[in-house]
Amino acid sequence: MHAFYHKLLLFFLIALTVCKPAASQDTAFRAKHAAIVFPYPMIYEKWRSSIGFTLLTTPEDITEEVRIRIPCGDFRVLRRISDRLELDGRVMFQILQNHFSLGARYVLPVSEKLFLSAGDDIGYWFGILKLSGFDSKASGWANYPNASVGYRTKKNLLITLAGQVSFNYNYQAANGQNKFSAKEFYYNGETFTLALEQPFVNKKHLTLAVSGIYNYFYWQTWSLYYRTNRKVFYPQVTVALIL
Amino acid sequence: MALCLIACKKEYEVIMPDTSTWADFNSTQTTPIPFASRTPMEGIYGLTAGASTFGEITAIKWSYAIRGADTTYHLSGFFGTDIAYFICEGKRLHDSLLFNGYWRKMVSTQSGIMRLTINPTNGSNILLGSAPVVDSNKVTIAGVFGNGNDEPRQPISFTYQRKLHKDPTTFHILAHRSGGRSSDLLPVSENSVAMILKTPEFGSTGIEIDVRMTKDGVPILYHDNNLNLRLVQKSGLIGPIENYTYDQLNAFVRLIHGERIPTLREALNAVLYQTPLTFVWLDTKYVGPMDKVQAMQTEFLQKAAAAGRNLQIVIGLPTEDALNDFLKLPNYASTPALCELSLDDVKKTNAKIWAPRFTEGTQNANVDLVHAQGRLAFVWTLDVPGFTEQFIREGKFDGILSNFPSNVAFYYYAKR
Amino acid sequence: MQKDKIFILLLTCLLCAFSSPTLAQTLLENPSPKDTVITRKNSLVLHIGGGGSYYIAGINLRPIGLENSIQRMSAATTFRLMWYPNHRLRLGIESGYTNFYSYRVESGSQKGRVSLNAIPVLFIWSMPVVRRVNVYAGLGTYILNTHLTYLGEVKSKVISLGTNFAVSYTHPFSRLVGIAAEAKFMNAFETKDATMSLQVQLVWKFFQW
Repeated sequence: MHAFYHKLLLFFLIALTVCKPAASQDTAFRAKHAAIVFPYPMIYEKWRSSIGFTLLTTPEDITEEVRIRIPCGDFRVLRRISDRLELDGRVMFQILQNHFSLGARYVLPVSEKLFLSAGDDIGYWFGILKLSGFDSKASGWANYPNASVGYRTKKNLLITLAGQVSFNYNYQAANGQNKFSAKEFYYNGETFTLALEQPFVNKKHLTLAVSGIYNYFYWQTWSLYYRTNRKVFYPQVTVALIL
Repeated sequence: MALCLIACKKEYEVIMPDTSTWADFNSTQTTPIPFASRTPMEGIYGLTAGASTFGEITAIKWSYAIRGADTTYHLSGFFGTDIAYFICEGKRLHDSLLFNGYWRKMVSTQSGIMRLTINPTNGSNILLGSAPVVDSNKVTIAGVFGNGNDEPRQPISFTYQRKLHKDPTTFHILAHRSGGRSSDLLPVSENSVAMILKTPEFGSTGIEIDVRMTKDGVPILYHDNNLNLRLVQKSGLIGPIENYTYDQLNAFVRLIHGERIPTLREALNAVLYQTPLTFVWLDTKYVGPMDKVQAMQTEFLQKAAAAGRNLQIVIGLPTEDALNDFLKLPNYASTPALCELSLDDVKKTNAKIWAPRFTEGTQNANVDLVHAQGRLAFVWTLDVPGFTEQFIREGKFDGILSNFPSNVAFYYYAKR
Repeated sequence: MQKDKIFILLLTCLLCAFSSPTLAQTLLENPSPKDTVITRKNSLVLHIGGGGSYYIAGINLRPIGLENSIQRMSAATTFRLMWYPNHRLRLGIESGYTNFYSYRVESGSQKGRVSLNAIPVLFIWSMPVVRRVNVYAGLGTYILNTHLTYLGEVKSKVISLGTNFAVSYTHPFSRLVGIAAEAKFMNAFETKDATMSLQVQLVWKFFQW
């Protein structure tokens, strides 16, 4: 944990060093629906949303030949509270298991090209498996403090580097009549994301992101195991159309 | 970003500490611990030091394995915290008993050296007596433990409280894939002879092994459908293991810790002649005739009887295909089998054992039905400590299959 | 581990390239317009080519009693169909063929050979970064085939998820045809197989609307 915060600080220092402020203020950046991950203040609109999918691959040494290769639907909504404060909601749906999160993020324009954000989300996930041989369900809560830095290029390509940590608590599971719960609040791991947002077809913009999730427990694998004895690396790709 | 991602992707391993540095234990004046001293030592001990690391109590149990001409006896201690255990070899030095080995927590990658002693003032004089009887508070095992290869300095001690719990009928502590999965970072590979020899140290009284057939009809132990890097080292051979003959596999393929893929015959030989294990569950992972597996089962049951060994070997039926192949055997009704499917399928196959998945709960009513038919009931694969404790306390199963047999051993032996 | 680091470093290079303030179009594109709506035509572009590849992942071959010699270099081909929408980002599919590695074994009088080849089937995203230079990133599957000849013959197949990353420089002959030099990193990460490839490709914009 200690080493992680050093790396996060180093990452932000590097980001701030290499990104140079523009010569003049650009108040004409009417990027309506052009950004969902990029930490841009919602000055011109009240809502932003995107729909897409994430694709994650699970490590074979943990999930063995049962490797999850099913895309997870991803719907995200931003609601303006003030020029710099936004509510951030996200639904990740995969039928057998689903994840909801809601939080807020504060956006800080440093220059016309460089933007920062910091936020915190509360997440809830649940899974149900009632098939032959299974009568299982589980759920849990999580907290996701997060931060990001965004760089806007001249050609309207928005690049975002985001970091997030997760804390899990209140894990509940049931198998038949047997129930198990763990109220322990524990540090679960980190996620780093690199996102590119840009125009794709006509006026539609696209989010392309790659994430490295590094967790003891990831909600999509709830039916396979409870918690591993070490952090597991899950690479994830996100593709979303900004609505 | 690059720095962060590189830092994230980390390869894990558990350090197997170097336990060869204890001078007293290596002394030429040490002798083996007498056989009569071992069994009375088994029991539930309360920790008076080290409880913050390992918990309040531990279950102590002896096991052995025969490797070549040597029989090695191991003293294992099972804890309720973090699925921890220790495994030590024992020697006698004058009037004291020394135990040298390592500890490990299965919920993490923590491990370290463990050195324990019973000296005359703490009960070794009782254990080394002619007819040792151990009562509460009469024996204290004390020593030190450390982290990794560091010199052990943290104190640990535990005092005998009571005997290990024992049900009126045999309870089977079954190790999945002969001892655990590759992902559990054990020092030997799953489904290997090396793991079979190691598994009694984890508290296992039996094993489940995965049986497949090579292209030329040799029954082998291998879990997955394909040759993959989870189980074997990279060799260029990929795809279903059934595509290859045994000689090709033997020439090119090594398990991740370097062992050869064992044949079923090698595995059963190891169980029968080199371990105290009393149960083998042959999980038939292949689709096809079962006559060869049945013949080997019969052969080794006869050998066990001839050797005076209490050993059960059952053919596992995990799928409808396996069940149908089993029913094609001419004498299936008298062939010991374990059925994972429905209770009707258990009756159809006349299986000795019904073994449902743990995800449907303790199913006490169904287990009572099965017992009324004169059959046993096992459950698989139980790894969450909370559920393991519940199933042992509230369930009626005759055996539990787990990747953490030490955890099952703790909750079973500590049961009141 | 080594190839993961190469992948991360390549990703970083892509990031730096993307953030370059001198983004421009290739000669196979219309000139870039202003603002977020670019009045370009849609087009379909075909890339066909080939070259050499070198297997860079680790191989821990120690068949006991067998002498072996590993061949890591081989030929590689690419077939890629790209859709160029009216913006910078492109989408396409890619396939091809490469032999990852092969080795011969010998034990007494018994000789044999093992070879592993791959057919990638990937979704590809690409972007121009500077004039005539494009970067590509793909995600999809590799169809892996092994061929063993030792104490019998075995052909076996498995499918692995994988990625690829490439950088190419395209020299146009006309508005529709050009020739490209491409450096590519291919990674079937489920089976931990990875190769670097250098190729020459014919680039043909065969349809526009």
